[in-house]
Amino acid sequence: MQEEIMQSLGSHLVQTHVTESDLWIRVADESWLDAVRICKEDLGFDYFSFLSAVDWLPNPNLDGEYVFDEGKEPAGPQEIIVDPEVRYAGGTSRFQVLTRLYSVEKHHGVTLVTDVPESLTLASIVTLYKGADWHERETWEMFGITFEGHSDLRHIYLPAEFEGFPLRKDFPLLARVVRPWPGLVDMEEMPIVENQEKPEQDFA
Amino acid sequence: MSTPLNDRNVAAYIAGQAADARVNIELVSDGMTLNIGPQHPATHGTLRIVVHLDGERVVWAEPVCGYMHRGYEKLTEVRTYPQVTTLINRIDWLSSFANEVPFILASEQLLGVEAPERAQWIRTALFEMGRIANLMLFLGDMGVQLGAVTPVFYAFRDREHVLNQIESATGGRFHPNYNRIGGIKEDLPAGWIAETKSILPKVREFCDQMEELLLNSEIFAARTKGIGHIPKEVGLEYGLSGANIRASGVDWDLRRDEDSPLAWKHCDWKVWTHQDGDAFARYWVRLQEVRESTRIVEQLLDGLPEGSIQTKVRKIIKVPAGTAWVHTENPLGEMGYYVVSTDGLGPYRVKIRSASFNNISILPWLLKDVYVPDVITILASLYFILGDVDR
Repeated sequence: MQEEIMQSLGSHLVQTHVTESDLWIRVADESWLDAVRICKEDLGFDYFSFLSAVDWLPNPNLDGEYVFDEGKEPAGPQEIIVDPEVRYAGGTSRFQVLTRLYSVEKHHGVTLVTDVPESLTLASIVTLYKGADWHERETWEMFGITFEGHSDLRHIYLPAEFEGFPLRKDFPLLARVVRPWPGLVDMEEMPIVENQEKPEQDFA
Repeated sequence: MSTPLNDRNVAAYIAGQAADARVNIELVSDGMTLNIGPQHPATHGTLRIVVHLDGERVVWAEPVCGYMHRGYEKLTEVRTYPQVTTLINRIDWLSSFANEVPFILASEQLLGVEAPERAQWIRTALFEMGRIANLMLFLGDMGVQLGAVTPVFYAFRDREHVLNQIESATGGRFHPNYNRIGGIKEDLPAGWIAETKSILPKVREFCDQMEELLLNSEIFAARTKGIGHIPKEVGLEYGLSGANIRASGVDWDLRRDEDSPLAWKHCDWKVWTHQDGDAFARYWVRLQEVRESTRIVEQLLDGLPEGSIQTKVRKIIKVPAGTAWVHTENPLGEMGYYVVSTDGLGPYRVKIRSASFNNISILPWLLKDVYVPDVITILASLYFILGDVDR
């Protein structure tokens, strides 16, 4: 199955990653639409599962939290994660768009991944899978990635006047800014050193 | 006695004709826009649908979601893996147990552990109990949307048995929070198996009642047959899954077709499909699914293996770097979690692929050219939960 996909995709294919049960394929951003078309028309992936994006720039604010300790500086902008252990099928861009296609007859699926270029635009696949309409709207709303050829990029969840792209890692989680969460301690490394004093917590 | 023809009568006649003409002009109108929801029983939550009508016919329809958007994908990024379970319980609140399972399986896959056989069997049994509780509500609710009030009372009456069993095993009626990475919270209470077996015939009896009350009813058939027809290809393109696509003749069920650590492979059951693709077919398929689920639960409880319910996992769970995609056949359709881990205590990114989001994205296409009362039929028959749409 994997070889068939690789042959059909030909020059569009950049890198693959295979796990026990799954297949990741990275294609160049300019061949995004063509690759999806080949998957649908030649390889028989008739079912559209989802389309979304990942922001690979780690949160500058310590795992999603704004920390208000006077002496504690936010970690600041960090390096984009390019570790292939995390980032299956490689890539170096900050944003990656991925879509999951499936064949209901052959019972196997594929995850197509592409690096989003600096311009943050990518071809829309609505012409191929109508279900991608809402998913592209959601991805546009949450990550600020524009899909060229999508006729109707409007907010889907958030109010029309909302500013910012909430699922980007540098977008603060406002509820936590207003009031630091006591559960923060769970997200930090637990002290393993014995006889260490319990860090003071202000639960007010 | 005829009316004398005087100026006054002539004037009245002309005015009358003119008024009629005005009415006739008004009948050829630009149409009107009608809001359905956000509060409507057919929407299982707060979904607003803006329909533009020409008389009784829908010209275009536009679902407006987001009234219940809680940003779970963002919230998972500031929680540890065990904490995420509590959160995702609230996605599809009618079968919370089923929401937990794919996420826990994805975490286990990344962590490289597998729950013991007994835990997997109990998980599967409760998964199916969740499906029964969820779909029973649909079976009754569909009736009430069409004006038959009795089925929904029967549904709530008999669903209670199932919820009681879920509660006595997990401690939560709606939000069990029972799955742990590497196993489950605790073993089944004493006498639970026998008690559960004794309520399953009641569920089947309920199914028979629904068959008699609704499926055999002429009115129900007239209101649902041929309404909201979804051809197979269109449904797949929109990403419809679960009973919605099986009612369009696609023989696909992740429980049967995909290799999963859960225990469905040990059971003998059948995947039902229907060729019609209309509201009636969707109801019919779900009714059969509840019956099959009771069979699955029975077989699982009969063959429940002995042993431990939890593998050894570190107390502070740090998940190695990697990506996992796990999807299961939830009551509403395919539910999947795409989990990215960067060797931390919490997930780096979780994409929640919920069934209802795709299931209702077909509405603008499906509601075109239907009549207003059928809008409600179609909404009810697609069966979505708003928590599952908005997440």
